[in-house]
This record gives sequence, structure tokens and C-alpha cells, in this order.
Amino acid sequence: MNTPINIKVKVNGKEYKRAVEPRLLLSDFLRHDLELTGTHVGCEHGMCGACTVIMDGVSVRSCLIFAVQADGHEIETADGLGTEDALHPLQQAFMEEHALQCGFCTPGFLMTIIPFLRENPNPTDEEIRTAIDGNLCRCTGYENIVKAVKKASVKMAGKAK
Amino acid sequence: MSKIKHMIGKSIEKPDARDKVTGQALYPGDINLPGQAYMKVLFAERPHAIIQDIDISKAVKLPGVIAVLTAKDVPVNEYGLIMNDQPVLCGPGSKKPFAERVRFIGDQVALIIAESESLTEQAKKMINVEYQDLPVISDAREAKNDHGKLVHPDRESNVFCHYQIRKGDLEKGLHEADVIIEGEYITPVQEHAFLQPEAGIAYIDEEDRVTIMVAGQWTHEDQEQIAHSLDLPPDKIRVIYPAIGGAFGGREDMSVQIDLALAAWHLMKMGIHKPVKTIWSREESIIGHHKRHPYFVKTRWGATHEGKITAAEVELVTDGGAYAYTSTKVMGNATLMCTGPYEIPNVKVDSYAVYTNNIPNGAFRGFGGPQGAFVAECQVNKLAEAINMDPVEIRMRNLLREGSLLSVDTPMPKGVTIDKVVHKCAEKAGWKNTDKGWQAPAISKKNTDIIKHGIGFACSYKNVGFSFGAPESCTAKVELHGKDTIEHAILYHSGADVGQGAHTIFIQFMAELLNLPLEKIHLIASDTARTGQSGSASASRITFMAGNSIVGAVNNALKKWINNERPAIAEYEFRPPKTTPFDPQTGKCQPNFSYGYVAQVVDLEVDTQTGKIKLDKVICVDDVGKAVNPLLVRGQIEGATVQAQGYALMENFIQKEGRTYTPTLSTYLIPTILDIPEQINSIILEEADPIGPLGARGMGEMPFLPFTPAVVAAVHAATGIWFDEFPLTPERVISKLHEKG
Amino acid sequence: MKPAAFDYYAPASVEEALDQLAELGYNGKVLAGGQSLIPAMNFRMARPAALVDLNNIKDLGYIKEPGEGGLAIGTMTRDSVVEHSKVVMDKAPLVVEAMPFIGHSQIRNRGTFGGAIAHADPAGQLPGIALAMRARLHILKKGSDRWESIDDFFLGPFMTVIEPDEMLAEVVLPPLPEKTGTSYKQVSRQHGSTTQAAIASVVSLDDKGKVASLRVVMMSVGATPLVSSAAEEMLVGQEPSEAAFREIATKASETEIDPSTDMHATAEYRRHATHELIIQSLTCALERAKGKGG
Repeated sequence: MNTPINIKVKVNGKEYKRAVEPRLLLSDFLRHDLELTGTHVGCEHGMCGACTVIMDGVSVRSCLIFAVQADGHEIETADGLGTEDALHPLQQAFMEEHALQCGFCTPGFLMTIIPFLRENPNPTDEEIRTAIDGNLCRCTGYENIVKAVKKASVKMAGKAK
Repeated sequence: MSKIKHMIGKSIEKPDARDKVTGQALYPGDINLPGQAYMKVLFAERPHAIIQDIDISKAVKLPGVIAVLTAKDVPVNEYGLIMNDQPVLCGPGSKKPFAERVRFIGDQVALIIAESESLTEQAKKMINVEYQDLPVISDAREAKNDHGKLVHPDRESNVFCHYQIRKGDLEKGLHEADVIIEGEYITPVQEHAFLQPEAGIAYIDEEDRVTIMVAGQWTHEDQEQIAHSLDLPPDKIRVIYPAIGGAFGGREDMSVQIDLALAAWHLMKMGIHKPVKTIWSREESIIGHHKRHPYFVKTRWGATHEGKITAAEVELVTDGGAYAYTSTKVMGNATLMCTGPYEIPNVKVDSYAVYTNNIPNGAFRGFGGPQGAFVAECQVNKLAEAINMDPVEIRMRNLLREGSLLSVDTPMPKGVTIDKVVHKCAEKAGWKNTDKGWQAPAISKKNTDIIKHGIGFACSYKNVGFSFGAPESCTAKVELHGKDTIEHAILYHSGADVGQGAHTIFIQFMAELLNLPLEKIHLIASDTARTGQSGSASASRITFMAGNSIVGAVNNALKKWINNERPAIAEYEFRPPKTTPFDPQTGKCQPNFSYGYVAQVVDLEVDTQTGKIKLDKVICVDDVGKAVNPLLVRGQIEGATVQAQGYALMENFIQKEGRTYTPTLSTYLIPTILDIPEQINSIILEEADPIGPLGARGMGEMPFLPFTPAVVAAVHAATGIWFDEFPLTPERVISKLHEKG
Repeated sequence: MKPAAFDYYAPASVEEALDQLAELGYNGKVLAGGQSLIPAMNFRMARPAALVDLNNIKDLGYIKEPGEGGLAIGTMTRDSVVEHSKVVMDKAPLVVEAMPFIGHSQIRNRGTFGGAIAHADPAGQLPGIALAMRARLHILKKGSDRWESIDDFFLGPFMTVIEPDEMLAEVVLPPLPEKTGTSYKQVSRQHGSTTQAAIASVVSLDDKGKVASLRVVMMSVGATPLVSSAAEEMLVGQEPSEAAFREIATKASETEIDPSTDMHATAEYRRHATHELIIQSLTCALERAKGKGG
């Protein structure tokens, strides 16, 4: 039952080959096996959204996926978003709009919003709120997060022109 | 890079934000050290029992298990922020009397240290604990009078703290009143639900100090408590805070700190030099750390037809849970604030903190203030109704002013501005100050058969600082570097940034005082080996205390700079004006040296079919003295308001017979973005506090306080029903609507 | 907590999956979206000895329009795909209406249409929606298959007629009559959290504006989603009216359900909410039915 299974996962553009127990959660795989601690664990039962990552282009809860299920798939995490010198416009907007306080929930929000903005480059406030209703934040009261998404969408739309 | 002047009042970005948006920030659970071992706790999971025996023999033999620690392994098996009434580990074998008793489900019985986390879980199952169950004491009101069933057998009663206030002549005051309003209120338990569950890592550092990296609120208090339990001098313990994933008071007391230090130290004594790491699950977090105190209140207030409050009598009973934690301090605040920000000539208050077998209660944003404010504001709103007076008008006739005497018979510290805050809030919400007094606006939205609208008003004040004579100080050390001009500066400060932006504020103060750009300020924070005692990040005190400490340290450093010392290094310990404890008979005292003031209006609708309450608009006016960073101030207002909304409407912590039925985020529900008000208008007033650094007052807690009573007032306006208990879940609303008929 | 250990199989085809399930028997459990199963495993409330992961079988994800009308949805079709499908909006708007209430977008990106129905959570939305839509279910096992009516599908909380060596492959939603309006209403304490009570209504009118057929399904108020017989008895062949809706709501909430009290809601509140939501749901469904040229 604990026999490790070989998997090959692409994370933030880099391919990783590892042997993992079936029961290892994707969140733990990223954090412990790959030492990418940008994905955070808040509850391990799918309620808080802190562990959200992007799998094959859609946002999913990494605490509700086994690492073995990521075999052959592509994962994007906050660790790979933007670079030291060039932050992603969404990261930049979060900073400018004070959309984070303790920051623990922030990677989960970012990885929920990125696919959302890909599908909805010009969202209304209402659409933004619905998109992030699966991410809990205990510090900010959420308003600034909506502002940050709005700001980022405008900037990203401008760049796309 | 040009020098920046006037850094105060600027909404600069937080310097820690970059690491947080890139996922680079390290929270305690993210830190890994080579060769680390893993630790898990065996919790009691029963509310009241005597441990007859703990058999760890099978567990220690499991390959990969390094150690299993129990009570006998703790040198001084006790801890507590105010009273050392809690064993580190429960069970026989230690010198702590009655430590073999478990008194709540989160009491810790054993620590399992192993090569992997899954091994710790396996080993945990192999530990056999023999319990003799005892009757569970779960109702604080019953426990108060029942001396036969004691949570702590070394005491004579379950009441572990009592305060009283006697001002004027209550009976005379009630006699003078034209109306008397009696009320019975119950405020609920609330869970912090910070997103980052408890975690940490411990190791022995290069100077043989037992070092822990953990999320907390008070580095030096953690250090002191660990030193006490390990029977080591404090300087042999080192506490470092990395990034902290929220606190709200929930990290004020110990959770994993002593466990971690004990584990690393024990391993060292075994000759094993391994760091020890622990991460709690959400369930362990909910069971293992303290909550907001519930309060059971009986009260009677009197007022004249002219709206003068003549008397207030309040009895408060609070459930402290199994151990004291900060119950005495919380109750001190509630005792003071239960009569509201009003000048009342005749006051009688009795408050009691009672032990039970429930999860202990302790610090949580507001610290007794929300509970006190609920009572006071509901009573005032009911008095207003009884004498047919507008709720703002009645407040204006009774609010504390400059020099007013509190219920504890001492004058307010200078800079009382609650009347300005109330005025501004009322105005913003549409009240008009007519020649007949303040008048509420007419409801603009039409009621239907199903949807009823209402607005409600409440105001409050919140102390800044520890209160009631608790020793308080804050230390900063500043180093100025350069040749002829100051080129860069280093600040050493322990003050914890729990997300509120404390570190940003420190840097802003430095930049302002030294006329340097932000990039030239370097902060070394939250490490007992390098930074001095700052006191906790709590009680809305950090901006005030740290700001003043930085002002002092910079002044001293500048004197040295002028004297050509290079680098110029100076330390400064700021001590605020003294406060004093309650007089045991009269309650007379100087409770606080500074306050912040807040008023709120809530505009909502009640769906009388489903019982759901929808918040349309919230207006919040806060006098913060000086908004050092307006963006951060608004962040606190919005965050506090949404937390208060959870408290008032959604968060329902269910505990029965000492067991909790809501230990997960799927059963304990906190607001999502779709649950929050449509609009929160936060208005910041800046009436300088005479002793605040650059005029700043503390403000992190106060937006929380008036919210619930404002909601209750609005629901009353909508439905005609006064709710004396909350959260106002749809069940509660429907049930009361049905009662009304 | 972390899940207990299990054996893991990831078949690449339906045949392989059925072979695996046949071999594992009672020890095997299908892993579909995992959004309900994995949290239960994280709490160790579920400890399957072996998981047969269907996520690699592309053939199980589809939305087709069969010749006889209606929809055929492959069991592994992601909820979010169903949610945003134009053809589902057109043919089964009730499903799309309920989707935003099902957890959150991240959950729906992984959760599957068939998986939710097979999971049979009494508080779940899709089981009740499927019941309201009179779904038919294609259940496969090594060497054979069968079709079940949704009316016979649910046996109890988290229990269906699917045997351990079987798997759900497809859910067929029969076509709705022309003048049909549907409506989904629910109450929950937090957006996206467990429903306290929910109602799905399907109302079809005849040419004269009378009720030709209807189904009112009550969710989260019993061991399984429940069809209200009172609704059918009182309204089929009759003129729909607010008074009739009220009568149905009273009869259904007072005599047809046996709600329980738990940490999400009290029995009394569930009963009350069911009453209110039946009225709201039927009123809305009727309006929509009329809107279709009725």
C-alpha cells in the first residue's frame, strides 16, 4: 500500500521525477518533496482555498488531489508567478492595493484569479466576487482584493493591446 | 533617490508584501532544517478526567520514533500568561499538583517525536492512556455557585477572578430614573480562524540556546514562559518570529512554543542534535488554542425622560474555560466597558470569571470590549426607544467628554473625541441635528411583505495598552550609519507583525524622523537574541508603544550622532503613563492612558421568510489620532468589520458538555466574499492623542466593537424584535419571528 | 490529518477500470473528482483499501445530445464544464442554476457530474437535481451493464444501488416538455457551504395552462432527496395557483419530510425553510413555464 509510484510532473515549467506514496497529497508534494512552500495549507478539507494551484490551466485545491494524480500534468504555483525583477501585474496590484495583510491566503487567491482573468479579461466587480468566493481571508475584509483584481485586469488588457 | 519627507500619513506599500505575493515569505510551517524530526501532540480529547496511567512502551519501540515525552519529562510542569495554572503536559509523574487531571479536550498528554510525520501518527495510536472520567462542568453560571464540582481542586471555588465597581448610589440613581430597562444578554464564543494553523521548528543554536521559530504575538513572553517550564535562564531560550499568518489575539498564549522547546532540549540531552518541527491540522488548531470569552450578563439601566442615564447595574459572568489564560484582563476590560462610553453617576458592576471544562478563552480582538459594548449599546438603544428619543440624541446627552469621570471614578485621559466621532457618523448616515435634537433619516427603501429594512447605530471606545496596572514597556534600538550625513539606519525591534503592518509602520517612523528614504532603513525584528522587549502585538498598542519607543531611540541616537559617535547606537525603553488596578471594593482605578473612538451605522434587510440578513451598507468612523499609513488603517477597519460580521451573523461555535461540534472550517463558518456587506464606508478622523507618537492612537480592535449592537438595532428597526443573543443565524431569526407571531 | 494508506490504480480505459473493480470487489472505491471523497479521507472518516482513479479515462467526459432529445452526460464531465455549457443551459437550465451553489469554482473544476450523483450526499445538490429531472443512469460492470431510473437509485445517506464492482458511466437527462419551467432554491449559512434545505421544481404546463406534470424535490431534509407526492397529487391536471403552492408547501414540509438537527441547521429550521422554498421555487418555475409561450 505504501509502495511508491513513479510520477513525472511539470511544475512552473520545470519537470520533476519523483517516487511518491499514493496517499501523498499534491499540497504536501509541492511543499515537502519539491520544497516549493509558496502553496499554503490552511485546512486540508477543501474549505479555505489557501492551497489553490493551477492544474492544466484551471484552479484546483491541491489538498484535494493526490500527487499521483498529477502524473503527466502541468502545475503552476505562486512560486513560479513573475520573477524578482518583474512581478506579474496581479502580484503588483495586490501590493499596491493592500490586498494582503498576513499574506497566508494570498498565493491561493493569485492562483484562483490568474485562470479567471485568462477567461474574463474584463470582469465586473460582481464576476470578480463570484470567482473568489472559494478563498477565505480573515485579515483584509476582501474589498482590496477586488480592487487589486480590477486594477490588474486593466493593466493586463492594456498590455494585450 | 531623493530624500522623502513626511513619511507619516503616506499609504506606502508594505515592505514584506513582495515576499508574500511571490510565495517566498516563510511562515513557520515552511521552514525546514536538515535532519529535522517531526512532532505531534496526543491531545486528551476528553473534557474532564484523571489520568491513571500512560503506557508509552509500545510507541517508543516503533522504529523511527525518537522520543515520547510525558508530564514527568517537563522540569517545571506549568505555564500561563497571567497565572501558571496549566500543565505543559497532563499526566502523573511531575511535581505540579493535580497535573494528572485533564480539564478540556485540548489538554496535551504526550509529545511524539519521530523521523516522519506519519510515524508520529502511528506511534500516537500505540499510546495507551487510562482515564478515569469525571463529571463535566460546562455551564459557567452553574459552576460559579457549585463548590462541590471543582475544575481546579486546589481552589475553593470555580470563580477565579472577581471585580466590582461601586460608584455613587445605585438605588438612588434608579429612583431618579423615569424608565428602567432590564436586560439579559449572552455573547457567544468566537474562533480566531487565522489562516495559518499553528506550526514551528525548534533547534539548539550556535550559542547553545534552545531556539524556536514560531508565529506568536510576544517574543519575550514566549521566551519567559518557555524558560520557566524548562527551568532555564531566559537568555538560554531564543524566540524568533518568521512571517506570521494572522493572529487576532489567538497567538497571545502558548500552543506549540513550549512543546517545541521541550522537544529540542530533550533531544539534546539525549545526545541527539536534531531540529524538531511541528504543524497542527486545522482541527488541532481549533481544539488546541483559546477562543473569545462568552459572557452571561444581567443588567438594569435607568434614564430620565430627558435622556440622562442616571444609573447602571451590571452583573457579568464569563466562562474562562479550563485555565485562566488572559481571562482576568479580558474581564477587566468588559467590567469597564459594559457601561459604555457614557458618564453615568451611579454604577454598580460585579464581574466573575469562572473555570469550566470548556476550551479556555482568552485574547481576541477587542478583548472584552465587544462583549461590554454589546451590553452598553443595546441598553442605550432600548432606553432611547423607551423614552421615544433618537438613538444619536440620547448618546449626545451622555457621552464622555474631556475630563469626564469613568465608572471607575477617574477622569478620561486627555483627547476625548467620541462626540466628534458620533457626530460625523450620524451625519454621514443621514441624521440631521435639528432644533429638536438629532433625528434619524427616514428609511428610503420600501419594505415588502417579506423583506424588511432597518438601520442601527452604536458607538464605542477602546483602550490602547495593557490596562489596570499591568507592567508595560517597549524597547527600540537604533543604529545610525554614515560619515558626515546619516546614510542608512538600522532599527532593532521585537514588535510582531501579525499582518496588520506593524513593520511597515516602524519603517515609516524611522524614515520620517531621520528624513531618509525607505530603502535606507533596515529592520531587524522579532528575535529575542537581537531585539529588546516590546510587549505584545495586541491591545491596539503596537503603533502607540513602538512608535514612541522609536521616537525615543532616534532622539537618543541623534544626540550620539551629534557627538560624532560612528555608528551612533542608542536604545530606548518607552514606558507609558502608569495605570492602576481596580480597587477591590470600589473598583476605582486609572485603567488606561489612551483610547480610540469609533461609531458605526449598519443598514440591512431581513428576509422574514428565510431569516437571512443581508447587510447593505456599513458606515464606520474611527478617530485614529494620526493615520500613520491610511491604507493600513483602512485595512484594519475593513478586516475588523468583516470579522465582527462573522461574530454577529454567522460564526456559531458549538460546544456541549465540553466537546466541540464545530472543529473544522466546514462546520465553523466564517464570512466569504459573497457574505460581506455591499459597501463599507470607512471614515478616518485624526484628532491627535496628546501622548501618542505624532498623535497616533491605536485602532486595530475598535472597529469590531460597535458592529454587533448596530446590527441588533437595525434588525430591531426592521422587525420590532430585540435580539439579546447572537449570532443572528437564520434559525434564531425565524424562531423569534415565529414567537412574535 | 493525512489519509490512511491505500492501493492506487489509474486505468486508461473503461474496460481496464471495470476489470480492476471486479478484482477488488468490496476493497475497491471509484475516485472521480475527489472533492467529497478526499476530504473524508483526510479526516480518516473514509479509509478505502484501494482507489480506482477514473481521471485518466477521457472517454468518460462528454456532453451529448442523444437522438431522442435531452442530454447524455459522461460521469467524469467536470461540474465547471457542465456549468458553462450552452447546450446544458438550453436543455437543462435547472442544472446550471444550481451550479454556483455547489462549493466554489475550484471545487467545480475538479468535481464531476456523475461523481456527485453517485456520492449521494443527502445535502448535495446534484443528486436532487438529477431526481427532479427524472434522470436515467447507465451503470457498468465487467461483462454487463444496466440502466436504472433515478427514482430507484438512492438507498440512503451516501448509499446507492451501485455495487462495489460497478461504476456509473453516464447520466441521461430526458428532454423536458415544451412549456416547462424549472427553479432551484436553497438556503445555506455561508455562501457555498452545506445546504440547510433546498428545493428543485420542474413544472410543465399543457395548452390550457394547467399543470401537465411536475416534480418537486426536497433536499437536505432526509436520508435521500425526496420527491413530494403531495405536489403531484394536488397539482397535476389542475390550475396552478399561489394558494395551491402554499397547500403543497404545508403538506410537504409537515408530513413528507423527516429533517434532523445537526451543526448546520435545526430540524425546525429545515422544515420552515422547506416550506418557504417550495413556495418560492414553484412560483418561479411557473413564471418560467409561462414564459415559454404558455
